[in-house]
Amino acid sequence: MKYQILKAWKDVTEGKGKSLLVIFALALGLWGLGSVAVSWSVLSRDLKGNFLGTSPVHAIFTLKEKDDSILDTLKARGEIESAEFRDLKMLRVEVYPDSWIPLWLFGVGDFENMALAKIVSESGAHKPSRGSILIERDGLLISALTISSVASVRNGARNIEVPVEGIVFDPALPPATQDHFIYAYTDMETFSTLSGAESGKRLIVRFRDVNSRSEVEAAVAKLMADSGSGGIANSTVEVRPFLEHPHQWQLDMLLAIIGIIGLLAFLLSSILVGQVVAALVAKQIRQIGILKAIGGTRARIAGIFSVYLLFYALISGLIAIPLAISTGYAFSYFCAGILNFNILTTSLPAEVFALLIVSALVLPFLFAFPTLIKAGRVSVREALGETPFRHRTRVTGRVVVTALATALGVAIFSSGFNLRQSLSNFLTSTGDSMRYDIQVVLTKPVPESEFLEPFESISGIERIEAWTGGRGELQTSLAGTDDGIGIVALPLDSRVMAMKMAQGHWFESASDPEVVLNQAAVELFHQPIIGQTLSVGIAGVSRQMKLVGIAEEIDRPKIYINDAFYDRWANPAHLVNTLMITARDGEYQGVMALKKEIERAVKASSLSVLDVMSQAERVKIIADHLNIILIALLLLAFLVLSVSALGMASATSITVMERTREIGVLRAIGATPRKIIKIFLMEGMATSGAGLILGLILSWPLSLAASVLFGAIMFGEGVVLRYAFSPAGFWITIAATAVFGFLASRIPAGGAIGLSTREALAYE
Amino acid sequence: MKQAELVRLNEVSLTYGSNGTRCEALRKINLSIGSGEHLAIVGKSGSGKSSLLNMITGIDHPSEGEVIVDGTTVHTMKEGPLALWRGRMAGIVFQFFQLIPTITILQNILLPMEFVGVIPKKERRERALSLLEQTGIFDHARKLPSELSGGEQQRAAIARALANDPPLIVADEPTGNLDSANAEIVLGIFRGLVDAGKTVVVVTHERNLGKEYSRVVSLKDGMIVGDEWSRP
Repeated sequence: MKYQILKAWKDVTEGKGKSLLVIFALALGLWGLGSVAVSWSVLSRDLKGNFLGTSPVHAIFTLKEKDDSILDTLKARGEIESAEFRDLKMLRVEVYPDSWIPLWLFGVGDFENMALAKIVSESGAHKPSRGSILIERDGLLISALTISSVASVRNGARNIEVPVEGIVFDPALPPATQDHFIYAYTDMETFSTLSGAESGKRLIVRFRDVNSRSEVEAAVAKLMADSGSGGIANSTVEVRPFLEHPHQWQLDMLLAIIGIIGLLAFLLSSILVGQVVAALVAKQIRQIGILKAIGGTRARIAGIFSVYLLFYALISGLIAIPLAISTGYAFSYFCAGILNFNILTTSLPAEVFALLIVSALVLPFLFAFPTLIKAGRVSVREALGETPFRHRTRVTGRVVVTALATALGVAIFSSGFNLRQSLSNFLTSTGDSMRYDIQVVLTKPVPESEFLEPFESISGIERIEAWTGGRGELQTSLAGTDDGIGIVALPLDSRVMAMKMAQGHWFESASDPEVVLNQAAVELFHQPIIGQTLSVGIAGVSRQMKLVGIAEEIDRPKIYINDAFYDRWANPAHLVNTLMITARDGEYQGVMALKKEIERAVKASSLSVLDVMSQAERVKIIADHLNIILIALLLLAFLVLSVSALGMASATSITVMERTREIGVLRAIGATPRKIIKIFLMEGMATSGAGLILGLILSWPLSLAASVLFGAIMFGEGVVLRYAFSPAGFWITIAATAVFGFLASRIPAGGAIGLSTREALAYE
Repeated sequence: MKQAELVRLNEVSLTYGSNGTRCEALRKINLSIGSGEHLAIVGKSGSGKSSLLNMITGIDHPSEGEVIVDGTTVHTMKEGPLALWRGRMAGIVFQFFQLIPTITILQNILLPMEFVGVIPKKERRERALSLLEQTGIFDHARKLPSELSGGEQQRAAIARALANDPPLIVADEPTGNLDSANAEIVLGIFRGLVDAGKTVVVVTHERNLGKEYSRVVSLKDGMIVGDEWSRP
């Protein structure tokens, strides 16, 4: 074996340029695969790990009457694993001067012995003293609050100054940065003082031996039906999604993106490696003939190339594996930062290492396998007397593979832009669907005239509509069905509502109850069809309503109904809690100025306001939710295009290498270096052009498929994002492919003139 | 005295291509080569000389007929056993030397020994050096092929062909790429091999064939058109 190994080693070290190209291609593929594997492993375990580490609740009961003995009663029951009081009230907090956002204030029964929905102290006090609060760490990123600062909290018409004594981490909640909330924790007495609400009425419960949401629902039903369960029987209950983080969908989306695009990038680099190895073996075809002529069997020759590949595998593995671990972790930390969870995985599982090592050692053989088989089969006569026809076939094959790889890169890159356009259109349509500028929400419904009075003197207001219920999670608690789905009751002739309909139309009948669902509600009603009559529990009575439309909306599950029917069924005094305000000056600055004026009017009034939010801010919240996905999408799409450009560069390098002697002949008969470069450049650009055209054609079905997939991941099964063509993406794709195509041809073509005419003619 | 038969070709034909581009490289060749012969195969370009050589070494297989070398039916052998057989039985010398460019001359000679395994491990290095001495390039043992002149490379190729001590040496225009001085050295080596009992078959364009070779076989259009014995 000694001289066979020696030959392989010499082949690796003698042809440094070729070897570097193979190692680079292998390392690139392995790096892509490894980064995906590492980040996949870390992210999929750690978001779950963070969330489960809090001991998440299964159900939340809100008691009608305070019952001090309820905890003992519940804890004595065999099916209850744990139960605690965890009060919750939505207030407002000033995050910057004259800038207020919702504050979720939790009242904690016992900071020392939390068994459910646990929080972790990060700095400062781990238990707030009377009259002070702890802040969830993500809130620091969207406010000026910090330890020892004093938060200005507003409860209805009251302003209260509350010291911040500590920072905690609560990985079970949606990230504050995305939802634009501040989460705060205090003891139950302070909770009562700040919120004005009675504490000890909100119970969080975790059941023993339940494995699904339906099992939790069954356990809840059983508990509520049991007369021995105290005040629970008369409480309202909310069953939480079973052991699922509120933003699990975002992570699922990210994992889907890195999984799909990472694998496609890997596929491209495998084509690249296969191509480079095939070219190297082809370059050695004469040597294969010689080896066979002097007694080398097929197995021996395969052995030499195996040693050859093993060198490449080891070197590329040594480069790519540590790099993949670093970038995999870096990406994980990036996602964890945005989704507000900690990376817990300090050492990767053995199977990830095994995957990386096996990939490093096996993949080169896998990519090169067809070539090695072909090389082993070639006869001595063929190997020693290679005909021009075979050479031409090989070159044509490489051009086709390169064009296809470029097409794949272009298709993914372009689809990334189209998908981004789809999401952007979705966002714009969400913004356009609500033709209001500012929304004012109260903590509880009041008569319409009382609500309108403080704003009557503001000249910047063009129009006001009063609604019951409204958009967002906050308002679901103010107006909802008996099953906890948010109700938005608005006038039949609303002029601020123009939602884009996925199916059907907006409600229009004044005489018959009609309902419009948003996409999230469709799932809860088990995929109903337009025209179907739905039974909806409102104020304890089942109401029959005709489903007339499904609206495109990113929001909590909501149903939209004519307020005349809602008032008749559940709101006879026509109390309202939401004002939809249109500004005279609809530009951003004008709206912001009007918002400040409204905030001043609110401050001077006795209204118990939960939130004042501009539409621009609302769109920003949704945009923040999608931003991480869009960034990841474009970065990975760019990576894919870069990999395909590298494929093009390697193909041109190989062509240059193979045609060195031809270059010598061309120079001998008078071709200038510039002319030679031009030949390779034109060939490269023609391949790029073919790949570009094919890729742009391919991007259409790919974008359609991506819209279906991402719509389903983001909004649930059956919800599709509309395909959108991105003109900017189209031109960027063309420009990027042209630039990459030029560089990928020009740089290797430069190598064609590196040798002297004599060296080029003598090249073997 | 007729010597023992080493190579026998019976009714060997070789056809390339399909109906439209059909090319008959060899037509019903019958040839017997005795052990110790120094045989020249001559003919114009395209007459089938190299094809005939490829039949003997198993580099190519006949479309029809039999090729038997030292009792082995070469034309029926599979690729793996054939490569090993070739390494043991037939040393091949090419016109363009065909040395492995990335390893030294000495390593080029050791490689076939490692492939075939007939020379004991301990003796390989000594044998390789001795072959280099025999061919007059001992001092170049540690050089790469590219550092040697054409004549020296061809002598290295001959040393490699002798690595496993095969009874048959075949050479395809071994001097075609050499100047007259180097050509003479190479021919001298072949003469020495014949004197040592080897069978040497050479495809050549050389003149003065009668002086150099014991037998000259002439080919034309894939057929043997002459078979002359210069020396009994």
